Amino acid sequence: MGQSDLDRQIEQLRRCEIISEAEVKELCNKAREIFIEESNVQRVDAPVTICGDIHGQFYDLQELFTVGGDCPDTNYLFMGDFVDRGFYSVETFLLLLALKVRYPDRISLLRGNHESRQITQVYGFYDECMRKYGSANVWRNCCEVFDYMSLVAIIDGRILCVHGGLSPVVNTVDQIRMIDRKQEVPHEGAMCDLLWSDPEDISGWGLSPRGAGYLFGGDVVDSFLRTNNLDLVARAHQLVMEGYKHMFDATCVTVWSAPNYCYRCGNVAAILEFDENLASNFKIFEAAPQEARGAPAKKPAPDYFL
Amino acid sequence: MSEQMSVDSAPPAAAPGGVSNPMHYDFEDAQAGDLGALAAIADAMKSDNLADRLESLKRLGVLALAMGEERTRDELIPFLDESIDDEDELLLSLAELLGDFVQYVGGPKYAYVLLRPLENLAAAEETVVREKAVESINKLVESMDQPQVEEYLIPCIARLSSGEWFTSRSSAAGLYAAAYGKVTDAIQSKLRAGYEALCKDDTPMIRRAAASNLEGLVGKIEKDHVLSFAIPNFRRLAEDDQDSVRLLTIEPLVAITKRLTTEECKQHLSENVQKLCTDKSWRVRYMVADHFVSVAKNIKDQELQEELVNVAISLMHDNEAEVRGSICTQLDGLADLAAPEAVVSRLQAPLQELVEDPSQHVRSTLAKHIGSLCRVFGKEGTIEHLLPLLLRLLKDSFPEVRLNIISKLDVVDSVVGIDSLSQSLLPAIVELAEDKQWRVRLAIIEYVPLIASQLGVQFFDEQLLNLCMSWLGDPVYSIREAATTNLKKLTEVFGVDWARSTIIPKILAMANHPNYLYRMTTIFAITTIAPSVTPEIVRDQILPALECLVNDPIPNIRFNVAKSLEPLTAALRKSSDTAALESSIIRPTLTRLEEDPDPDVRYFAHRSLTAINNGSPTTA
Amino acid sequence: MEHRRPSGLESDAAVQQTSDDAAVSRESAARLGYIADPFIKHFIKHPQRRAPLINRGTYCRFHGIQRVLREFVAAALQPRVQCVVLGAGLDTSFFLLSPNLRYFEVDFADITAKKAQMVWRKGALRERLPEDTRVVGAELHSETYNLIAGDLREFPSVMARLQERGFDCEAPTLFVSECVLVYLDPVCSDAILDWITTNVPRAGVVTYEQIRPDDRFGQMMIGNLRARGLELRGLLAYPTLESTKNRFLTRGWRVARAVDLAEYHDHCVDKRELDRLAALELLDEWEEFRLLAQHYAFTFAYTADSLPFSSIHFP
Repeated sequence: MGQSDLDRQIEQLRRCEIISEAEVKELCNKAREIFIEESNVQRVDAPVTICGDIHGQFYDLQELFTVGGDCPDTNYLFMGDFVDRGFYSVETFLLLLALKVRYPDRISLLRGNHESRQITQVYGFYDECMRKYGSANVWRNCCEVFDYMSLVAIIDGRILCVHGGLSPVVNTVDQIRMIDRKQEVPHEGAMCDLLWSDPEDISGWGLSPRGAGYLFGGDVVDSFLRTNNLDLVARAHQLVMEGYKHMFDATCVTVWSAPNYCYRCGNVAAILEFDENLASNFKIFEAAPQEARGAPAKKPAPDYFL
Repeated sequence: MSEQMSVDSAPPAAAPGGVSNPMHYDFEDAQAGDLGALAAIADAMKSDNLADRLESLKRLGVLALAMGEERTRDELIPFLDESIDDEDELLLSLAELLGDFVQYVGGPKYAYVLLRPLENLAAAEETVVREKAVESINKLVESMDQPQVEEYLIPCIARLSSGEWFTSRSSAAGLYAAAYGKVTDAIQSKLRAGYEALCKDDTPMIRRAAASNLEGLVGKIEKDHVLSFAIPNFRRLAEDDQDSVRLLTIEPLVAITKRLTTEECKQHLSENVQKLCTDKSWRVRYMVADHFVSVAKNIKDQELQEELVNVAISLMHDNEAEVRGSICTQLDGLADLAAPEAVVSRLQAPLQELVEDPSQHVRSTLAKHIGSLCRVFGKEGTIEHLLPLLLRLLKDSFPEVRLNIISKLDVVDSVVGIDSLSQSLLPAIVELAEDKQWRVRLAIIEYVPLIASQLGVQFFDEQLLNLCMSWLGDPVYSIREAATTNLKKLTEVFGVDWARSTIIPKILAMANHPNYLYRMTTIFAITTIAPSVTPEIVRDQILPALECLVNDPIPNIRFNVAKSLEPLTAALRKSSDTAALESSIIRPTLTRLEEDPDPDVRYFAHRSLTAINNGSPTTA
Repeated sequence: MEHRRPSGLESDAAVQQTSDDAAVSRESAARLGYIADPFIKHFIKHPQRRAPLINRGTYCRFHGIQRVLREFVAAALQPRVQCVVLGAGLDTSFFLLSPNLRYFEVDFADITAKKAQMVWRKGALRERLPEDTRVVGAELHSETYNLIAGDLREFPSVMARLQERGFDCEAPTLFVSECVLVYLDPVCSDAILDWITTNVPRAGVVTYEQIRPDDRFGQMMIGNLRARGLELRGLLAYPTLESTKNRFLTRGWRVARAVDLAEYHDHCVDKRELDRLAALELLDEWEEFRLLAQHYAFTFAYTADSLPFSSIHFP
């Protein structure tokens, strides 16, 4: 696969058109080669713009790029949950993956709890692959890529970025480096917690209603940041109506990048820009308007109780 | 499913024993008379897999060819009729397919054999299947002659019209119009009677079907029967106690008015028209409002039209937002119904209320259509009456309203001229240029070059220049991008000297911004305007700035410099005074960037260098 | 966000399609084991798997309405009690309960015709019908079960039809409305309650409808449904739990209670049931479930503080 093939695929995916099954396979192989070289803890340099859940909302991802700038001009770090729920998980994930392969230094992708075989079979990505390709091959290829994605990133040694949050069995960043990540997301343990946990106004640790991961309090964040000489935990994973939410004296921030989540929630989305001096700035954006979404017939309706 | 069929028509000796998977039976090779084909398709249609059954349907044409016309009529069609499935998707495909099957049964004179299965499909539970079956029957009727219609279609219509479940009767209503033109007077009279019975049916679905199909029938009947048949039935339906029936009478009403003289319209319809306009159900009034101009235009009577303008105005005051929104879409045509002065004086008050309408949807629709009134209001009228309303809408709290008005401003400009523009519209535009919604800002940016040429350079510099420059520092990427394109267009309007002294210094000042995204905007801006300025400006102002940025610590800046050097080379080559810079500055710079530690910088440097070497650098 | 507004007819058809949509959700929840409804599958041609949060919400909806129905049937010692399901759609409660009381279902003729045909043609459903059931046009008639075609906007004429079929204004009557009144203009839905208040001295009503139109989720819900031709005409008139209760209390009804679906889920569903649901499907969408569930509410009200209504503990 040459660069011009890849550029063509990127153009195609940017128009929300899928690429062929054979091209997906090759793209996934390339991506795996890149991810396999990355540590569990990816080093990322500022300036970079960090983004939360996307969940297959392709046209809203386009809106994100419209507001934040295109890749590769703007550097990006996506904190997982690319697939499931939205109608275009295939196009969304493959576009980000193609950008990663084309510009590995300009974009970083972390694994979210939805980048998993089990979850994608319940929440839509598997069905979407079957619908769009008529077989499970593309889903299978993508799941193999999921297994190789980094778990956390650290920006300029100061900011820890992770999909879910902290884990009671992880006190130091080095312990994260020790995890054998190249597997399906386990039901418990450090790797599971990093992808599933949520901050909560409690002290210490609590049980999560999600059935995986933990709730963690401000004291937990404080001691983790001290131990590892960090300033901030940036994470995604939870819908916040204003797009972002600071907690625990701004030592923890949630960034949510799926506007009008599931075409239903009415929330705005945010991305968090760090410039080269780590000065930060939230950019808020709304869902792409109908006319930016192509043919209206393409828009299936979100579910309600009718 | 017809066991009997496969036994009867496929003697064991002829049955191809090898057809274990019916989908693999090669129909294309089937010879006429190959009895295996039907057996195979019969098997395929019994498959548990819906996809297989659908696939076998797609091959029916090939099968029919193989079987020949006679056996298709005698065996295949009856087989299909008997094996009617309960999967809607399959029934739908079958209903569609049969409409195009005439060629396989022996041409138009045998089209009637297809009626039988379609009649069954026309009674199916699922609406889409019935509608498709009706469509296919109507297609067949086109190729049938009078005796065939009378012998086969009329009894079919009669059966469907008296069917027990509502499904068949509602399909029947869709068949009368096509049959009507192809039968004798005596049968026509029976058809009218049959249709009338449907109009009087107890079930509202049937009366709805009768109302929806009345329009088609009106086009087929003689003038006398418009008066004696269509109008009474229209009236009956227009006075139905179900609003879902009444609202379907607007389209037949339009069709009827087309067949009548002015006098007849007035005599027979004016009462009903007025009743529908003031119907107690908003849904009926919505339909009236939606079709208002086409109803009113066909009623040629001046007096009645004048009255209808009053009706329209009352719809603008309707209690239901849907109705008010719907009549707003008719503003353009409405303005032609009465003399311009009358329109201007009568519409003012309702428009003023609509501008303040509590429904954002109504205001948004109004914003989309109010511009079309400028034409009728003329310059004076627009300035006096419309402009204040437009300004209100420009400040609406709902962004879509603002966007809709901005997109119509060019129409307004062309009517009111520059004086009013600068006095009244400009302050509003300046305000919108800082709108919270970036799409509103974008709409204003795109509108700026148009007014720039009308305002002139001095006025522009005073009023809008700072704004245009501030967009370069907008937090939203696409606004910064649009701002650069805007500067290029302004340079084309105001000239190169203006660009050199006014905008370029301001752009270059941004090259020192602490945030890389804004330094990048500098590169985008100068690259975009480069083709519109002189090579000397590129040499004296632009190139030195880029030479600083080439050493930027952030790779994204460096590779954008590398990218921009390609179009700048094209600009420099335009003059012999500057062409030499290509070898003295540009090539050495790119060569150096080809050795950059960052792979993306190396890639874009190499790409630009290659393009320059090939002699055809692209302009931005 | 621009939404195409429905024309009158489309919005009727759209409202009617909600019965299919509700049935698909119910079938999804039944197939996955959330609820026990062996009949709903007979009404569904194209089953779909709904998202876990929709299945869980459907469970709560089913749980609430079935509870009221069962307690009403159980407490109805007198033989003359009756139940009227307004906008019944493809509801299967009659088949689930086989209640020994007069049971009326009312909906648009388009829907009753379809339902009558389906019930008549599917053995599993037809065998649950009373023996004396017969098809009459778009309706099913029998001594105890009647499926009646009518437009609720013309409520007095609907009730006249029910009275022809044996509806007795003097008998204690439970009216059930699941996402029905909210689609009607409040003038029409108020007229329904007024009619009941005036004519049925011992009446109970249980509703399950949308609430809270004013926050961003509510606004989006209104917009999305509008884009499908559905106008929640009653939502602005009765936007809160308080207002849904008050529409009964101001008519002199003795008791009115309301609870939103989120609260119902947390406090009215047995903990062991919630554990059972958690094992069926992993629910990872808590924030969204909470949002969605806060926008639906049960209201239960009755006119006179007497049996069988007073024995129904709901919510």
